[in-house]
Amino acid sequence: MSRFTPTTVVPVALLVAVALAIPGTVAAKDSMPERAVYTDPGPVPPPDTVAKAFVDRNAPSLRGVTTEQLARGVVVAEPERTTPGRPRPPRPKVPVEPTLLERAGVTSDRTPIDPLVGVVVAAFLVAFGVVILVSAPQRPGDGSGALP
Amino acid sequence: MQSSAKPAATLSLASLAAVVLVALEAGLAAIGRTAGSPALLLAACGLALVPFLPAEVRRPAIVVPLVPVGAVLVSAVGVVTVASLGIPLTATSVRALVAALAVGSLVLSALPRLAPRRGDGPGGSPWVDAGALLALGGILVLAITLYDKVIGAPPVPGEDWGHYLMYTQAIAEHHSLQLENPNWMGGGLAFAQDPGAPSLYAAFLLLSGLSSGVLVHGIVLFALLGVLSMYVLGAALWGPRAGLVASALWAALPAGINVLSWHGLATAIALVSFPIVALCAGAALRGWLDWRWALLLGLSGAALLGAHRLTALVAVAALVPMLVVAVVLRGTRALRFLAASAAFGLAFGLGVIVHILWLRDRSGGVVDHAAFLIRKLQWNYSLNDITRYVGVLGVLAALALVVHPRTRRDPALVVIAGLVVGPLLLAYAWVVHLPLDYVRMGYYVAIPLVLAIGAAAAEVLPVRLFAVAAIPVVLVAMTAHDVAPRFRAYYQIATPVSLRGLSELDRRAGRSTEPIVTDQCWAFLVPWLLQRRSLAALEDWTIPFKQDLAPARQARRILYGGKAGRALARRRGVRFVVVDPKCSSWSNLNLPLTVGGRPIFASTRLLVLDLKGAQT
Repeated sequence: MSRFTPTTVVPVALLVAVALAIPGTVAAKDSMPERAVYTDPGPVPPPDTVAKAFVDRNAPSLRGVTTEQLARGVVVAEPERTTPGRPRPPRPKVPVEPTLLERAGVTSDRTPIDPLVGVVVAAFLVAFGVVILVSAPQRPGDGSGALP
Repeated sequence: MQSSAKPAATLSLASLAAVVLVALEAGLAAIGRTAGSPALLLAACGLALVPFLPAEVRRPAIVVPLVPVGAVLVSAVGVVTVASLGIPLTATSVRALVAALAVGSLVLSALPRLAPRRGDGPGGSPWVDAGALLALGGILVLAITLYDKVIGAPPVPGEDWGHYLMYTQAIAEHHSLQLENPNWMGGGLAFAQDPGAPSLYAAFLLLSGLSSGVLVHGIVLFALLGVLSMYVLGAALWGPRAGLVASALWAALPAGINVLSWHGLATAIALVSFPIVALCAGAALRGWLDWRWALLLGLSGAALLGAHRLTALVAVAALVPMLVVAVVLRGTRALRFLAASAAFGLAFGLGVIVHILWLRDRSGGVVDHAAFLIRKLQWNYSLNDITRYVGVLGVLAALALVVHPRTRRDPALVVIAGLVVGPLLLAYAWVVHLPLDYVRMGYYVAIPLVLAIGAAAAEVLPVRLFAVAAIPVVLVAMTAHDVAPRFRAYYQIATPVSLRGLSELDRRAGRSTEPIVTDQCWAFLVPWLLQRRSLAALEDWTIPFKQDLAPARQARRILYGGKAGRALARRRGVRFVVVDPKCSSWSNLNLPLTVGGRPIFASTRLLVLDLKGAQT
């Protein structure tokens, strides 16, 4: 029996055709700009330095704010609330609108899943299931090599 | 001994169970208990499909995970069809739709010509089925554990969820899919999202009476169903062991974490349908050309088109070579199968097609391919998502399948080849000026790789060595576990702190109706969270339809256009600007902000500027 059948030749031929065709075409027509954006975040810079530099540049009045304060959030008092010659009023405490929290899905404090517990439960189920699966008598369609 | 003449009672029971669930839901709704209504009706949709499933998948190890997958296919197609045909989408119409499906399924399954017969199925060992389902449960637990790392604690990362929830709420309020967004880009533009996920979400809200916020975690359900769907694809073609390995790798891939982190809801729901479409092509290649396979292909194809046009395009590119080979191998039987599939697809997809045509007319069509030239495929980034383990092992597994005596004559191997060729062709479709997000094609290449590994583990690896297949799963899961916090941090725009800033902005904006100008990162969240009109400075590569181009350019001019931009802001009456200090990492233009203004809130992910009194 020949080792080469239509079902083995066709996938290989398709892959080879694509592999041969793409690089040449791409090299001929590639015009990718120098900088590009992708969904992969890549290495993330230290947490707040980017944000701090941005705020310093675009809100000069907040230059004295530290990265830690930025991480907590800084509310700037409205000008009409301050009177010249009088001390600045305390920084207002800003409660978050309940409807805004609701729209953001922040309706309750949710305990995150402990990864260790999740992995142990998953490993137990998978191991138990696989032991049953491989020790059972295999039939066609069970992935035993007897393809239907 | 199995009879070959009696109708299968279990399948009629599935339809009967669907009818019972519909009745139970109606009873509970009558006494005001509606929180469980969506789950009950979704289950009814899945069970209603069971009598029409092909014989080759009719064994517990495949039918059980296929029921929830089928539930999404049936319900998504049903809801979009109802709405697109002009029937108001209400709790009553959704209940009537599911009731009609359940009763119709019961009646049709009892017809002698349509009733399936015992002994038609693949007849696997019950112990194998039990073990496979148990192991599949473990894989779901693994997936939930990994997904929780990135999307567990609210507010969830990403910004796309704002867009989806905005559309969902609008559908639930106006009972239609063809709507204008009152807040997006100054208002008056069509909602341009794919209708699949938002229509299901809206049905959830209408039935349950719950608020939209609970849906921010809905994407996890679709991601888990995607894992089940991948299992079904592998298990139906190469047995449960193939399905287990493929689905375990799929669940553990960093690519899945990536999609969850930016909230790719449409992608997630499309990847529930996509493996079923590929399975139907594999069935055609194997010579399983029953009308039931044609029905499943038509249904899953319609659901895929409604869920995500990009994934549907990938499916078309992948299916064409598969179906051509099927016709070469199976001749006129395959042609008849294709004709039947097209007929079913047209019937099921009519509502989706109507909606897409409406959207094309309203949105001005798709933007030019030049906007996406900065989004070309980069293999090193794609390999990070797929992992080098899966990349290398997938290629080796595919080669093993092609040369191994057990598998080399298996026509279903063409499925793996087609699933590689389709995304690869589209990844380089900029050559022929086809506009699409080329970089995302790397994600779809993971599907044939995990499938090849699963098939090789089942067919080439000796049964006693099957546990070895757990090694790559563990390695891939460890990689995903490590990158999950990084993805979450990168896409975490809405935080408790930034929500506080938005709340302050909302208070100061008062009754103002002028648009708030946002950068790219806050574009989808501000209109939803504040329910105010906005102008988003989207860059062209993030804009799918032409309707957004002009307002986005206007917003970019306001933020980055210097003196002319500030003058434009005054003319438009813009007072507030919302930007993410870390958004530069998302940007291709990376322009310096020139709008100027007095800060009213500043944090790591949110800077709000008040333009009132700003220098000219």
